Amino acid sequence: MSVHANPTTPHFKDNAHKALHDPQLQEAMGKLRVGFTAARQIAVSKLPEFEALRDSARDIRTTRSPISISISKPMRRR
Amino acid sequence: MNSGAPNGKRVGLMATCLVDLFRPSVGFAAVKLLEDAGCTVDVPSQTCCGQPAYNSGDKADARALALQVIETFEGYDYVVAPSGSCSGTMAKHYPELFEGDPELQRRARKFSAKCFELVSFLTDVLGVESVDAKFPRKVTYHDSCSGLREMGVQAQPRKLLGTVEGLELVEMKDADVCCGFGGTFAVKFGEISGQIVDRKTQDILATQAPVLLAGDLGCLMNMAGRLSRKGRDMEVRHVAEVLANMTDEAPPIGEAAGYVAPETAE
Repeated sequence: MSVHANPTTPHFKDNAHKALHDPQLQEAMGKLRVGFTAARQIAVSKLPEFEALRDSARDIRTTRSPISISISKPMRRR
Repeated sequence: MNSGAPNGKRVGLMATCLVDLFRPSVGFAAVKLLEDAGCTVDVPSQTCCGQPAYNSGDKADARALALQVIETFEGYDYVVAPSGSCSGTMAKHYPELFEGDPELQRRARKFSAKCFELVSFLTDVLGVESVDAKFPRKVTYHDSCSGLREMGVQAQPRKLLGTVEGLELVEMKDADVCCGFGGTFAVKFGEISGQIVDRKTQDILATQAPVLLAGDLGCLMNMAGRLSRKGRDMEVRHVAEVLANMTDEAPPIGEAAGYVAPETAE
């Protein structure tokens, strides 16, 4: 089912009900808790400045005036 | 222990709707904690802070409610609420409600700057290091989302709980993960909310602590309700009741008067 052809928002509750009772999906989502959430936490704990970085990223995103950041060069080098 | 010597600070207590309607003991505990720390506490006639309207996108009603909260409380040195989400609404979201009205927005900013969550206000503003309370039980503590993420409440309750005589804190797995309440989220998307609180109760029960504490009544009622429907006998309380040594004054959330904890029963 194409998301664009059939917007799912009006059916959110029904879709959620189906998803919560879909054993295959639930098993896959269950793995995310270890594979994603836990792995992310391990990565975060290696980066003490993680929350500060998130805050500055948010500030960059929400600043209305365009600002230049010198991140493009090192990224290209990689 | 606190001297109770007056510190000259006049605090307006924002009791919050849920405390007013379901759990007044939390309001009385908040008053005691603030007075023990030397504050003069006033509880003016008040209504909702506007959080449910704000979260539902009803900006007009949220603004009307915010304005009367500001009028009621702006004369105090500080505005304190025993809730991370109500204090978060006042401290973090009021100014944006008055976009386009510079004068009201300035007033809202000034107001927001003196709004605090109870436990972090005690430690971070008043410098409270310990409380005069006894609670010889194992407890586990849930970090409510708004308090944690908007108001930075995490270390403060643990610090003060650490000074409660006899209390042992057993941390649950994922203490900082949502309990599924989310204010109107639980009403709009009950089934998903139910799934989230099921996970939360598993983590709570795994600690084997007989007592669950948190700093927000909405989350507490959500978790207490799920635990009770699962047939689990667990004492659920607002952290202020324990810190104020007032657990004798009200049965646990959802329990009848005269409740006796199973492990302390004769």
